[in-house]
Amino acid sequence: MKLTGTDLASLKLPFVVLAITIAASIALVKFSSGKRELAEMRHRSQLTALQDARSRYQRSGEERETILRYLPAYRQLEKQGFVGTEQRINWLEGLRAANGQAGLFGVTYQLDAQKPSPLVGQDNPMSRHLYHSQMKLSFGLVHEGDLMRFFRALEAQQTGMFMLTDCALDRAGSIDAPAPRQANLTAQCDLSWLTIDPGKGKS
Amino acid sequence: MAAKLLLCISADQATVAVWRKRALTACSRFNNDEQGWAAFSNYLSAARGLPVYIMVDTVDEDFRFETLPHARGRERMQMAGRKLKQLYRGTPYFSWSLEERATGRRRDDRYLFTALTDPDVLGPWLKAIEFNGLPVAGLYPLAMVSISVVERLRLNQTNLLIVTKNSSGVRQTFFKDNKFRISRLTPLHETGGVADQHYADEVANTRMYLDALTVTHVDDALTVVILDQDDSLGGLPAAIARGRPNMACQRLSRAEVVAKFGVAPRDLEVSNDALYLHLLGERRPGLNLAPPGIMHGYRRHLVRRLVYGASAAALLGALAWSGANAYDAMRLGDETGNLQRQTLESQAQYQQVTAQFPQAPTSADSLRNTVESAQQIRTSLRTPEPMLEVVSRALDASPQIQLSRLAWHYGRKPIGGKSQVDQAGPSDRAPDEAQALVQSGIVRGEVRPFDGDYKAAMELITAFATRLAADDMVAEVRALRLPLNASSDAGLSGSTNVTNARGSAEFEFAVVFKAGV
Repeated sequence: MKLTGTDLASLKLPFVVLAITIAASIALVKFSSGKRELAEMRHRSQLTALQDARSRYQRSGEERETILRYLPAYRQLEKQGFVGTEQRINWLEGLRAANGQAGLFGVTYQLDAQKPSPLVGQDNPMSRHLYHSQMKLSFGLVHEGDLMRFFRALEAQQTGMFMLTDCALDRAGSIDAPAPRQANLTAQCDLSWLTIDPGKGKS
Repeated sequence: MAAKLLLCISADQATVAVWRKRALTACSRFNNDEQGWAAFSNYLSAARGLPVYIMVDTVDEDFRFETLPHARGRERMQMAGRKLKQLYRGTPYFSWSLEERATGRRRDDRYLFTALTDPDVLGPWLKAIEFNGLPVAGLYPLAMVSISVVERLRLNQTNLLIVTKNSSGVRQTFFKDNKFRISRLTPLHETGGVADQHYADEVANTRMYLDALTVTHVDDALTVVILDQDDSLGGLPAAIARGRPNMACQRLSRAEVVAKFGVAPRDLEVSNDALYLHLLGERRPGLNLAPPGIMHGYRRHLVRRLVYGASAAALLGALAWSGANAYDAMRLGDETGNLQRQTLESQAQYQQVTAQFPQAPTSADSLRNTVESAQQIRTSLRTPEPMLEVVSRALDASPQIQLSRLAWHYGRKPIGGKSQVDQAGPSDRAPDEAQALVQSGIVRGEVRPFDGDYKAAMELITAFATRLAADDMVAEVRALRLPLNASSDAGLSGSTNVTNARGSAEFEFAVVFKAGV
C-alpha cells in the first residue's frame, strides 16, 4: 500500500492519539506500580515491626533474667570506669597513687585523644562502642621488680581498665654496680585505657 | 459489530441504510437523477467515517464459468488476471473465484468470472461517496448476496431457483448443489394475474435456458423458492406449476421473511431491496468487484481503526493493570493497618511487662554484650611479667651475660621483624588465630668480661639463647645481632695481634612467645 499525502494526513491524528495513549498508559502504570510498591514496602516494614514486637514480648522473661544476671556486673564496670565516659582525672590520680605505692621516682605520662578501639572484632556487637586512649609512660626503676609492682598498684586503684601493649627497660648507668636508692633502670611503657559506651538504646 | 453503510444500486435508484447492532436503520431510497444524487450526498454527509458496502442489482452483469489449467499461488493469480482482462476490457469492476476442480484426467480448475459490464451505473453514486470521503469496503453483485439466502433457509435441493422481487425487477438466481450457477434480472410488471403469469413465464424461460446449457435435465425436479417480501406474488406458485409439472414452488410471505431473516417490517416497506441489504449487513460475499483504487480509502480506514483499536487496547490494558495495582495497594494498606494495630498491642503488652523489670541503664542485650566484652578483654590482658621470668631463669645459669635492654610487646605482630611463626602465613591458620594477640620481646646484652675470645663468647651467647628457647612459654628465639658475623655471605676483618681491650661481645635476640601465653 503506497501512502499518499492524504493518507498521512488522515493517519496523523490516530498516531498522535496512539502516542498520547501509550504515554498516558505508561505514566498510569508507573504511578500505580509505585503506589503498590510503596504499600508493599510499608507492609513488609510493618510485618517486621510486628515480628520484632512479638518476639520481644515473648522474650521478655528471658530479658528480665538477662537484666538480673548482668546488671550487677555492669554496675561494677561503671564503677571501675570501663563503662561510660573517660575518667581521665581518676586515671592520673591512679598513676600518682601507684607511683607512691611502688616507691618510684615519678612517672611522666602523655595521653592521646580517644579513638575507636580495634581490640574486638567487627562481629562483636560492641565493637562500635569500644574506645581507647593511648598513654605513654616514662619512669625510673630501682630494679625490674618495680615494674610489675607499679602496674599492680595501678590496677588496684580501679580507676579504669587498661591494656599494656609495650614496655622497654634500659639500664640507666653502670651495668656492674646498681645502686640501692636510685633509678638504675628507665622504663618506657605504652598502655591503652579502654572505655565502652553502650548508649541507652533498647537494642 | 462496527456500524457500516449498506448501499444497493440499480439502474433507476439506490437504496441506502445504516447497519448498526445487527439491524438496518435510516433506510432511504434515492432516484437516479440529480435530485437523488444531491439527496444521497446529503445523506452521506451525516454518515462520515462509516465504510460503505455496495451491492449492485443490474442487468449489466456477467457471470461466466471457465475451465483453465490447474495452477497455484502467484501463477493462478496471474492467469486469472489475464483472463479477466481478456474478458472484460471495458470495465474495472470484475473479479474471479475458484469454484471447483474438474474430475477429468487433466484435473483442470473451474473458475467463476464476474463483472459489472456497465460501470456508468455506479458513477454518480461513487462520486458522491468519494466527495464525502467515505471508504468503500466492497462492491458485490446482488446475485452473490443470494448465497446467504440458501444458508439462512438451510436449503439443500440439487436444483434450486431463488426468486425475489427487488426494486429493479425480479431476480432469479439458480444454485446447483448449493453452488451459484446463473442469475437473471427481469423488469417489473404491474401486480396481479398478468404479472404473475409474466414472472412464471420468465421462470419457465430460465428453466429452458438451464436445460439448454445442460445444467439441468428436462426431467430434473427444480425447487423454486419465492421470497415474496411485499406479498405481491401470491399467484406465482400456481402459475409456475401450471407451466412445468416438475417444478416445486415454495413461497415465503412477508411475515415469513420477517420471521426467518429478522429484517424489520418497516424497512421492507421503505424498499424491496431492504432484505438483501439486511443479508449484506450480516455477511459480506466472497467475490468483491471493487478495484484496488476504490478500496484505497477503506484500507486507510482499516489502518485508522487498527491504530485507534491499539490505543484503546493500550489504555484498557493500562487501566486494568492500574486497577490491579490500586486493588493490591488498598489491600496491603488495610493489612498494614491491621499489622500496625497488632504491633501497638504487642508493644503495649511488652511495656506492661517491662515496667516491672529492674531499672537498667541500657537494654538487656547491651548489658550482656558489655559485660561479656569486658570479660573477653580482661582475659586477653597481658603484662611483661612472663618475659621477665623467662629471661631471669635463663640468666641464672649465665652469670657472664649482662643485659642492657629488655623490650616487651603485646600485639598482633611480634617485634623484631618477621618471625618463623609469622612467616608461616595467616592463610595457614584460622582467622581467629591470625588475629590473635601474641607476646614478643627483644633481649639485648653482652658477655662481660670479654677478652676478645669470640669463640668462647659465642658459646656463652648460644647457651643463653638455647635456655631461652627451651622455656615452655617460648615459641621462637631469633638472633638479631651477634658479636661476630661468621656467615659466608658477609665480609669479615680484624687483627689477632692486639687484644681488644675496648671491644665487646654484644648480642640481640628476638623472643616470640607461644600463642595464648
